[in-house]
Amino acid sequence: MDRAVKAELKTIEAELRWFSQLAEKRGVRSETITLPSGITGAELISQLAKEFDELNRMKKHVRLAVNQSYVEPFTVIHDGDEVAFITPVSGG
Amino acid sequence: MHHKKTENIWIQIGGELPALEEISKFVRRDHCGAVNLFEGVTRNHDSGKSVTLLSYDSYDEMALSQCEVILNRAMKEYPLGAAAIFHKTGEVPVGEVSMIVAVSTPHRKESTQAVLAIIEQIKQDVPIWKKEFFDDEGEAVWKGGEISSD
Repeated sequence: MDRAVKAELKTIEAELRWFSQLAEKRGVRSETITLPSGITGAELISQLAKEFDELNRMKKHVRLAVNQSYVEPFTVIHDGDEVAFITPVSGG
Repeated sequence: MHHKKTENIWIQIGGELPALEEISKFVRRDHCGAVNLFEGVTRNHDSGKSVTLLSYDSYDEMALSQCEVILNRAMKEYPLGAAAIFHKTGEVPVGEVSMIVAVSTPHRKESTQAVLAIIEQIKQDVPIWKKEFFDDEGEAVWKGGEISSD
Protein backbone atom coordinates (compact mmCIF):
# COMPACT_ATOMS: atom_id res chain seq x y z
CA MET A 1 0.00 0.00 0.00
CA ASP A 2 1.17 3.53 -0.77
CA ARG A 3 2.75 5.23 2.26
CA ALA A 4 0.59 8.37 1.89
CA VAL A 5 -2.54 6.24 1.78
CA LYS A 6 -1.47 4.32 4.88
CA ALA A 7 -0.87 7.55 6.78
CA GLU A 8 -4.53 8.34 6.31
CA LEU A 9 -5.62 5.11 7.99
CA LYS A 10 -7.34 5.48 11.32
CA THR A 11 -6.67 1.89 12.25
CA ILE A 12 -3.89 -0.62 11.79
CA GLU A 13 -3.66 -4.38 11.88
CA ALA A 14 -1.02 -6.16 13.94
CA GLU A 15 -0.23 -9.81 14.52
CA LEU A 16 0.01 -10.72 18.19
CA ARG A 17 2.23 -13.65 19.25
CA TRP A 18 1.72 -15.46 22.56
CA PHE A 19 4.04 -17.91 24.30
CA SER A 20 4.39 -19.93 27.51
CA GLN A 21 1.66 -19.26 30.09
CA LEU A 22 0.19 -16.40 28.06
CA ALA A 23 -0.38 -18.75 25.10
CA GLU A 24 -1.91 -21.38 27.38
CA LYS A 25 -4.32 -18.93 28.95
CA ARG A 26 -5.09 -17.13 25.68
CA GLY A 27 -5.80 -20.40 23.91
CA VAL A 28 -4.02 -19.28 20.74
CA ARG A 29 -0.40 -18.65 19.79
CA SER A 30 -1.12 -15.88 17.31
CA GLU A 31 -4.01 -13.63 16.30
CA THR A 32 -4.56 -10.59 14.12
CA ILE A 33 -6.01 -7.56 15.85
CA THR A 34 -7.23 -4.16 14.65
CA LEU A 35 -5.84 -1.26 16.66
CA PRO A 36 -6.07 2.52 16.62
CA SER A 37 -3.35 4.14 14.55
CA GLY A 38 -0.53 5.53 16.71
CA ILE A 39 -1.01 3.13 19.62
CA THR A 40 2.13 2.46 21.66
CA GLY A 41 3.28 -0.84 23.08
CA ALA A 42 2.41 0.21 26.64
CA GLU A 43 -1.06 1.28 25.54
CA LEU A 44 -1.54 -2.03 23.76
CA ILE A 45 -0.63 -3.98 26.90
CA SER A 46 -3.01 -1.85 29.01
CA GLN A 47 -5.83 -2.33 26.52
CA LEU A 48 -5.40 -6.11 26.29
CA ALA A 49 -4.88 -6.52 30.06
CA LYS A 50 -8.42 -5.26 30.65
CA GLU A 51 -9.85 -8.46 29.18
CA PHE A 52 -6.93 -10.88 29.63
CA ASP A 53 -6.33 -11.69 33.30
CA GLU A 54 -3.02 -13.52 32.84
CA LEU A 55 -1.56 -10.57 30.92
CA ASN A 56 -2.89 -8.26 33.63
CA ARG A 57 -1.14 -10.39 36.26
CA MET A 58 2.15 -10.43 34.33
CA LYS A 59 2.06 -7.00 32.70
CA LYS A 60 4.76 -5.40 34.87
CA HIS A 61 7.14 -8.16 33.86
CA VAL A 62 6.29 -8.42 30.15
CA ARG A 63 8.78 -7.15 27.60
CA LEU A 64 7.48 -6.30 24.15
CA ALA A 65 9.11 -7.41 20.94
CA VAL A 66 8.15 -5.89 17.62
CA ASN A 67 9.19 -7.74 14.51
CA GLN A 68 11.41 -9.98 16.64
CA SER A 69 13.38 -7.24 18.43
CA TYR A 70 12.86 -5.95 21.96
CA VAL A 71 11.40 -2.43 22.00
CA GLU A 72 10.70 0.24 24.60
CA PRO A 73 7.11 0.61 25.90
CA PHE A 74 6.66 3.96 24.12
CA THR A 75 7.32 2.41 20.72
CA VAL A 76 4.49 3.02 18.27
CA ILE A 77 2.98 -0.09 16.69
CA HIS A 78 2.65 0.10 12.92
CA ASP A 79 0.40 -1.62 10.40
CA GLY A 80 1.63 -5.14 9.71
CA ASP A 81 3.87 -5.35 12.81
CA GLU A 82 4.36 -8.63 14.63
CA VAL A 83 4.04 -7.94 18.35
CA ALA A 84 5.16 -10.52 20.90
CA PHE A 85 4.61 -10.46 24.66
CA ILE A 86 7.72 -11.81 26.33
CA THR A 87 7.24 -12.97 29.92
CA PRO A 88 10.44 -13.56 31.95
CA VAL A 89 12.45 -16.04 29.92
CA SER A 90 13.85 -19.26 31.38
CA GLY A 91 15.88 -21.00 28.71
CA GLY A 92 19.01 -23.00 29.36
CA MET B 1 13.74 -26.11 13.57
CA HIS B 2 15.46 -22.76 12.98
CA HIS B 3 19.16 -22.56 12.36
CA LYS B 4 21.95 -20.38 11.07
CA LYS B 5 25.44 -21.44 10.19
CA THR B 6 28.20 -19.13 9.00
CA GLU B 7 31.96 -19.56 8.96
CA ASN B 8 32.27 -18.70 12.68
CA ILE B 9 28.79 -18.98 14.15
CA TRP B 10 26.37 -21.90 14.39
CA ILE B 11 22.97 -21.55 16.04
CA GLN B 12 20.07 -23.99 16.17
CA ILE B 13 16.72 -23.64 17.94
CA GLY B 14 14.64 -26.82 18.09
CA GLY B 15 15.35 -30.11 16.38
CA GLU B 16 17.87 -32.73 17.47
CA LEU B 17 21.17 -31.59 18.95
CA PRO B 18 24.21 -32.28 16.79
CA ALA B 19 26.83 -34.68 18.13
CA LEU B 20 29.39 -33.05 20.44
CA GLU B 21 32.21 -34.17 18.15
CA GLU B 22 30.59 -32.35 15.24
CA ILE B 23 30.23 -29.18 17.34
CA SER B 24 33.80 -29.45 18.60
CA LYS B 25 35.07 -29.78 15.04
CA PHE B 26 33.08 -26.72 13.98
CA VAL B 27 34.53 -24.42 16.65
CA ARG B 28 38.10 -25.75 16.53
CA ARG B 29 40.65 -23.35 15.03
CA ASP B 30 44.40 -23.75 14.57
CA HIS B 31 45.14 -20.63 16.62
CA CYS B 32 42.82 -21.68 19.47
CA GLY B 33 44.23 -23.85 22.26
CA ALA B 34 40.91 -24.10 24.12
CA VAL B 35 37.60 -25.58 23.06
CA ASN B 36 34.92 -25.23 25.72
CA LEU B 37 31.64 -27.13 25.42
CA PHE B 38 28.85 -26.59 27.94
CA GLU B 39 25.81 -28.85 28.22
CA GLY B 40 22.71 -27.80 30.11
CA VAL B 41 20.99 -30.95 31.40
CA THR B 42 17.56 -31.46 32.97
CA ARG B 43 18.15 -32.18 36.66
CA ASN B 44 15.77 -34.12 38.87
CA HIS B 45 15.07 -31.41 41.42
CA ASP B 46 14.36 -27.69 41.71
CA SER B 47 13.60 -25.66 44.84
CA GLY B 48 13.17 -28.84 46.89
CA LYS B 49 10.73 -30.51 44.48
CA SER B 50 11.32 -33.62 42.38
CA VAL B 51 11.34 -32.75 38.68
CA THR B 52 10.50 -35.40 36.10
CA LEU B 53 10.44 -33.41 32.88
CA LEU B 54 11.01 -29.99 31.39
CA SER B 55 9.07 -28.77 28.40
CA TYR B 56 10.42 -25.80 26.45
CA ASP B 57 8.39 -23.28 24.50
CA SER B 58 10.18 -20.93 22.15
CA TYR B 59 9.67 -17.94 19.92
CA ASP B 60 11.92 -19.67 17.42
CA GLU B 61 12.58 -16.87 14.97
CA MET B 62 13.44 -14.34 17.66
CA ALA B 63 15.37 -16.88 19.74
CA LEU B 64 17.58 -17.42 16.71
CA SER B 65 18.11 -13.70 16.11
CA GLN B 66 18.76 -13.03 19.82
CA CYS B 67 21.35 -15.83 19.91
CA GLU B 68 22.99 -14.23 16.90
CA VAL B 69 23.10 -10.86 18.71
CA ILE B 70 24.65 -12.57 21.75
CA LEU B 71 27.31 -14.39 19.74
CA ASN B 72 28.18 -11.31 17.68
CA ARG B 73 28.61 -9.37 20.92
CA ALA B 74 30.72 -12.16 22.39
CA MET B 75 32.88 -12.11 19.27
CA LYS B 76 33.71 -8.46 20.01
CA GLU B 77 34.27 -8.95 23.73
CA TYR B 78 36.29 -12.18 23.67
CA PRO B 79 38.93 -13.53 21.30
CA LEU B 80 36.64 -16.24 19.94
CA GLY B 81 37.70 -18.40 17.04
CA ALA B 82 34.13 -19.64 16.63
CA ALA B 83 31.03 -20.03 18.77
CA ALA B 84 27.80 -22.00 18.76
CA ILE B 85 24.48 -22.23 20.61
CA PHE B 86 22.00 -25.12 20.37
CA HIS B 87 18.73 -25.25 22.28
CA LYS B 88 16.12 -27.97 22.20
CA THR B 89 12.41 -27.20 22.36
CA GLY B 90 9.58 -29.44 23.50
CA GLU B 91 10.08 -32.15 26.11
CA VAL B 92 13.48 -32.80 27.71
CA PRO B 93 13.37 -35.54 30.39
CA VAL B 94 15.73 -35.75 33.38
CA GLY B 95 19.30 -36.51 32.33
CA GLU B 96 18.90 -35.25 28.77
CA VAL B 97 20.60 -32.21 27.27
CA SER B 98 18.53 -29.09 26.58
CA MET B 99 21.25 -26.67 25.57
CA ILE B 100 24.82 -26.67 24.30
CA VAL B 101 27.13 -23.65 24.17
CA ALA B 102 30.51 -24.06 22.51
CA VAL B 103 33.43 -21.69 21.92
CA SER B 104 37.06 -21.77 20.96
CA THR B 105 39.67 -19.27 22.15
CA PRO B 106 43.47 -19.06 22.13
CA HIS B 107 43.67 -19.70 25.91
CA ARG B 108 41.56 -21.58 28.47
CA LYS B 109 40.58 -18.75 30.82
CA GLU B 110 38.81 -16.63 28.21
CA SER B 111 36.97 -19.68 26.87
CA THR B 112 35.36 -20.25 30.27
CA GLN B 113 34.58 -16.55 30.70
CA ALA B 114 33.01 -16.39 27.24
CA VAL B 115 30.84 -19.48 27.80
CA LEU B 116 29.58 -18.13 31.13
CA ALA B 117 28.81 -14.72 29.61
CA ILE B 118 26.94 -16.30 26.70
CA ILE B 119 24.86 -18.50 29.03
CA GLU B 120 23.96 -15.54 31.27
CA GLN B 121 22.77 -13.57 28.23
CA ILE B 122 20.76 -16.53 26.94
CA LYS B 123 19.01 -16.77 30.31
CA GLN B 124 18.29 -13.05 30.24
CA ASP B 125 17.24 -12.32 26.66
CA VAL B 126 16.49 -15.37 24.52
CA PRO B 127 12.71 -15.97 24.30
CA ILE B 128 12.64 -19.58 25.45
CA TRP B 129 10.60 -20.74 28.44
CA LYS B 130 10.71 -23.92 30.48
CA LYS B 131 7.77 -25.61 32.13
CA GLU B 132 8.59 -27.87 35.05
CA PHE B 133 6.69 -31.10 35.68
CA PHE B 134 6.93 -32.71 39.13
CA ASP B 135 6.51 -36.28 40.35
CA ASP B 136 4.07 -35.36 43.14
CA GLU B 137 1.32 -34.77 40.60
CA GLY B 138 1.32 -31.10 41.55
CA GLU B 139 0.56 -28.62 38.83
CA ALA B 140 3.32 -28.01 36.29
CA VAL B 141 4.69 -24.46 36.38
CA TRP B 142 6.28 -22.11 33.90
CA LYS B 143 9.65 -21.14 35.35
CA GLY B 144 9.76 -17.36 35.70
CA GLY B 145 5.99 -17.09 35.43
CA GLU B 146 5.24 -17.44 39.14
CA ILE B 147 5.63 -13.71 39.66
CA SER B 148 2.79 -11.92 41.39
CA SER B 149 1.18 -8.84 39.89
CA ASP B 150 2.66 -6.63 42.65
